[in-house]
Amino acid sequence: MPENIIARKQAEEKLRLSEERFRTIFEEAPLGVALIDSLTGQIHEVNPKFASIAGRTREEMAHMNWMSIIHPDDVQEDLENMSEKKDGFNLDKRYVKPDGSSVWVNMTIAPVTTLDKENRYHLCMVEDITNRKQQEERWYQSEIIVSSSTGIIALMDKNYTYLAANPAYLKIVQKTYDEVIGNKAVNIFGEEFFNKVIRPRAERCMNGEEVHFHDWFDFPFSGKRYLEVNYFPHYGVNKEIRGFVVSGKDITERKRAEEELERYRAHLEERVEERTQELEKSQKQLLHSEKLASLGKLTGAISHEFNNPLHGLRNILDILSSSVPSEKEARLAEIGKAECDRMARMITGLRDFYKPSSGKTSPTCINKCLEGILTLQIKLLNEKNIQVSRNFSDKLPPVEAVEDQIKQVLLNIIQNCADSISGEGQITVTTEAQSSNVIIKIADTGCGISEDHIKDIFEPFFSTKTTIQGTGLGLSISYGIIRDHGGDIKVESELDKGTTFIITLPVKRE
Amino acid sequence: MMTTKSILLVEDEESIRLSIDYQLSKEGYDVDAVDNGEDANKKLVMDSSYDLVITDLRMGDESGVDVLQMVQETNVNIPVLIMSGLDYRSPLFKKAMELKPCGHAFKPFSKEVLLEKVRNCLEGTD
Repeated sequence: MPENIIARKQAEEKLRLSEERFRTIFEEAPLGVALIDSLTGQIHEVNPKFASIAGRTREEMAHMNWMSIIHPDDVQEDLENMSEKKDGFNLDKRYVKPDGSSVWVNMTIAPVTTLDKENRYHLCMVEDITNRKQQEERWYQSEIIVSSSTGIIALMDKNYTYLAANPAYLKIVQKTYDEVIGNKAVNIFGEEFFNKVIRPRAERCMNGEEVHFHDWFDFPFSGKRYLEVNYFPHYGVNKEIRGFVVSGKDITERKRAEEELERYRAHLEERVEERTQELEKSQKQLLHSEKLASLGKLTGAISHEFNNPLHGLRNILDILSSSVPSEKEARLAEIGKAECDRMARMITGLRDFYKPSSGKTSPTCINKCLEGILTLQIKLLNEKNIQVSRNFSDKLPPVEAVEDQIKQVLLNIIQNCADSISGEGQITVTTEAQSSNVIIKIADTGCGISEDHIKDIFEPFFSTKTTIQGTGLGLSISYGIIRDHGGDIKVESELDKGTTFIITLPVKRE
Repeated sequence: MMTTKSILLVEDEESIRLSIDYQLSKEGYDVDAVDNGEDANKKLVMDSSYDLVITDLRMGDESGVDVLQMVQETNVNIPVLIMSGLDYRSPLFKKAMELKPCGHAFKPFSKEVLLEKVRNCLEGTD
């Protein structure tokens, strides 16, 4: 065989083997490979992997145009790339399968010039990246959720270095993404806050505990804020703790509103309580006044009926006492008459009780009233070893009052004070001006009134006196008169120490 | 010598009427006692020589004011003493006072008060 023939045969054999090798590579490559006519876009040939990725048979694909398998949205980009990037390019795109579904591929395209001088081709290699794309899509969605969350979210490693933080977190610490990520928490919050608030809790968290807390925090950058914060351990693939996740919410505004509401509620409760007490008090006063008024009406009506038989009885006792010889019987008749007189006083007292005042008011000088009463009483008081001390204000304005009635009240109270003193004692009378009122204090060093009795002393018929003088009406009449004048009487007392009556009278009557 | 003074007593309450009658009689007064205004009228018509009329102010349906008016209509010279268990603020008492009786006494009053009032009223008649 001629040598040139042998050489050609050998070359042919070599070529055949080479072609077979490359064919095998082409046929069995784990990547999809396609040869495309650069001018027409006609697919020249695809390998089985390519056909499999595109979801078609090789034969089917051999006559298809390149553009027909590309997702319509990606066609334009592809055309631009093919004409502009002469040296080839790499990109992610979607192919459309016959059933209409898409498959994501990473595609590398490069022009091939050596294969055929007449025809120009592009070589296309594709990898199915659908799974990766889906994963990316999920990450992207998570990223969207985290970014748009109004809750704060951040990730720190074991050294308190920020690995991630969402915009809400950045807003709270008032820093940019670049200022935070890679930075340490201590640089953001300052030494004191970090050591006091963050570190002790984070240490617990990095020991595997979920930590939840909420409080007012005085941030160095934004002042007092109320935050709900959670630290969750960040576990690596081998369950080792790699750091911690911070999540939470700034509920300052809500908390302030709540606190405001709470203050308002407390205030409201206070107001309701106050008003209830006022109402209860005025209801009690009303009941008391009504009770007294009806008692007054009743006594007015029956006093006549009582006075008549009482008069007859008194006369009869009088007649009998003068005709009875026995001294003892005469004494009894005298007592009977005295009892009649006591009843008569009581009836008069009752009748006067709570009668609407018919007296005319005039500017009344309280100091003068007191002086007048004390002058008349002083002898009697001194006989009882009672000293009187006056402590009158010289700046006392005249009070619009019925003078006789006020004198009656003052006399009554001074007599009550005197009656409470057995042995030596003292009565101190003080007057003072207090805004639009005149205050009269009459204090004694007498036996005092027990706590049980204090509430009753203005009740009609209440009396602790066992003597024949006490009708139990004096103080209630006094109370009625002072109330009529728009004033008030208060009593402070301590057993065996003494009692102080405090009379308040408005300067002007309403 | 002082002549015996005659007094007409008008009082519906028996205990008062009898006791005052007794007290005044014992003091030497000549007392005619009746228990209503109508009888008082009859007495006054029959005998207008009374030195004093003492009347209660409120007696059942009648009033001492009627007695007072009656006396003043028949004989203005007889003084009238009003006695009453009422209050000085009561309208009936005020009405009686407008007719200017010679005196008034609030029940219950003692024999001494009664005798003093009676003497005061009779002073003008001597």
